[in-house]
Amino acid sequence: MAMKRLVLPLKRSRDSQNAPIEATPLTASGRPERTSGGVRHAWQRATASLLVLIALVLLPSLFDLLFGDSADFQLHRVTLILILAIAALAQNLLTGYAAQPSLGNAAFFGVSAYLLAWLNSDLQQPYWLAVLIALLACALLGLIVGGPALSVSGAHLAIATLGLVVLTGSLLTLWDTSAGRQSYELTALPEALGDDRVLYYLVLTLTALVFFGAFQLLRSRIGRAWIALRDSEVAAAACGVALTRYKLLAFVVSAVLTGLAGVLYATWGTTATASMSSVDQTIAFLTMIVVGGAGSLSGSLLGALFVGLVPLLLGELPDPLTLGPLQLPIATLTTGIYGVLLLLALIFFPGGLSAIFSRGGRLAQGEGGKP
Amino acid sequence: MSDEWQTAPQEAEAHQPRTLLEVQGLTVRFGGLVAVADLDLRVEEGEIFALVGPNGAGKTTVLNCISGFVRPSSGSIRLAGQDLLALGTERRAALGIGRTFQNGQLFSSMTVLENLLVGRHSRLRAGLFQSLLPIGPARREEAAARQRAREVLAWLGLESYADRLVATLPAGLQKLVGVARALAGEPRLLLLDEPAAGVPLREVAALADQLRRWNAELGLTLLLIEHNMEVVQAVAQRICVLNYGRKLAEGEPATVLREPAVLEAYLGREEEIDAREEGEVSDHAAG
Repeated sequence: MAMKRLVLPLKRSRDSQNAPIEATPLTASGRPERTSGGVRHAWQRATASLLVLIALVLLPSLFDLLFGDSADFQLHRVTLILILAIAALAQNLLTGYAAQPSLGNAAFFGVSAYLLAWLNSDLQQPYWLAVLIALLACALLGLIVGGPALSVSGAHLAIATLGLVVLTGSLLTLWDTSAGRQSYELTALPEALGDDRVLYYLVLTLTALVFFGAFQLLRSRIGRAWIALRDSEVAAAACGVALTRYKLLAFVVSAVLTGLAGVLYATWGTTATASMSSVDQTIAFLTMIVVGGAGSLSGSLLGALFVGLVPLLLGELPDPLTLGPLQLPIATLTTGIYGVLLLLALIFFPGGLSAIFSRGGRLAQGEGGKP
Repeated sequence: MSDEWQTAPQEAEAHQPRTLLEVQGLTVRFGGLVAVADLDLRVEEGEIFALVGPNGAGKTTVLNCISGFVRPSSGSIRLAGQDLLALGTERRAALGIGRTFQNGQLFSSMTVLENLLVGRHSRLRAGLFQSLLPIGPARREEAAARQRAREVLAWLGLESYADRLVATLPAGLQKLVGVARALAGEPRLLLLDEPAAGVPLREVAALADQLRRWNAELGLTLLLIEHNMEVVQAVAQRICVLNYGRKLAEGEPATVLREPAVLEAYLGREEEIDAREEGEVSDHAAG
């Protein structure tokens, strides 16, 4: 058991320069302080997640009590927030964890919705088959686009992927125009999904599964590899992480999840519009992770809640809003508000809402806050 | 305690010493600058080999060529007979090349234990779909990897820091975590970039003891770059002195460090050395 008295030569103590040449013995009694990652922390998180899930499961009943006849209408609005949470998570895995500043997710958001509309409404394919094909198409498209896109980095990647969004949006608009329609209506959806409650529980189940999967993934070699290449690419490579492969994997996983959010969004609104692949949509995705908290699962949910509430609240206003001589379309106003939120969050709380909450939690426990 | 966690040094000792790393005719040019010129190196299995030389001599460049961060202009590098140059950095890590960095390069948002788990990355196999599940082979593999990482931490006396965020540790401990991360991958060859840099003078002797211990108890081959001659003389069985990218001398430290050419390289040209120092740091800090 000689190891127990192992001396650490590298322990520093600045205030004892004249001490004899003797390293500080450091045993298990060295009493280092606990921080995050500890067992207690993990239990707290699991409990909090479970409570949120239970609350969401009981939400329809609560709405019955609160809103009476308009409960289903209100539930329909909450469903949108859950769908956005999947899109936020997708962007967060790619940008907040794997550190790829890609702005291309809105392309997959629109493409999957249009594919669903085309397969389900025009080609009369079963809904779930159409969803599956749309998701596979997103994976394939992510693979095809991701390879060349990820060979550039930083600002170049952001610009290239934003180009992808604009291109996709134009193509979808072209398709709409040549087919002589304003937007692509989903006319053959399964009847059950017309029920707001069924749709809510379906979306809740999928969102919960996606978040649980992401939670597991981030605690596996794959999620750690993403975080590692965010923290230090050279060290990640030296540890055996194949950088290009893992960046591409993050891109494809993100594309598929965004695709899932896209088909759910189209189902929710019974229509697919070209504006799903637009710069405005990209800004909404970005706002969700920046305001919610980049590199945080709970941040994805909080960001979606925040971003989902803005159009809900603005929806109460007349469209276009008249301010003196100004005629403001609500959609423009929404994006403008996202822009302001994005700026404010980046300047004043870079960690987003989740960091504010967890700092508050730590302060409450007397552990001191570390920004 | 230590016998729980050992690679297979006994096997290596049973055989004649054999070459683990073989560098031949290595030349690296950065534009017009020849950083390394026609260098031959041979590191035997189980030895401690030090690469020394004034700043700007090309030591870090050699290390980066072995890791795969720098592609040499010509020459060959082999690990146990296998050509490395065709392989990416991550494949070389999987073959058993561990590495520490002069500036740490730790995963600062992770805990100490998680850093070690990334260090074990190439020894884990779990795929995407397995990793999504709370049970199954991926979780069993994960549990075993955590156990192994804790053993490495215990062996280095770091077990009580396992759940600490790396960013909250003092610099000296961070350095040791860098070594622990490399050891978690169970390398055959560990590349150490200036292990004594930033270590207080009075602790240098203890550091040398540590290096010898890793070498002896794990049967680990060490290739280190070091400026501190006290450490080099205390630990290295053989050294190679580089100057302006060329090999100046090679052999046992006691002999080599007395050669006139080596003394001149170290003592005679301090002004030039200072002038080139900046260049090397900025060139190679990022790898």
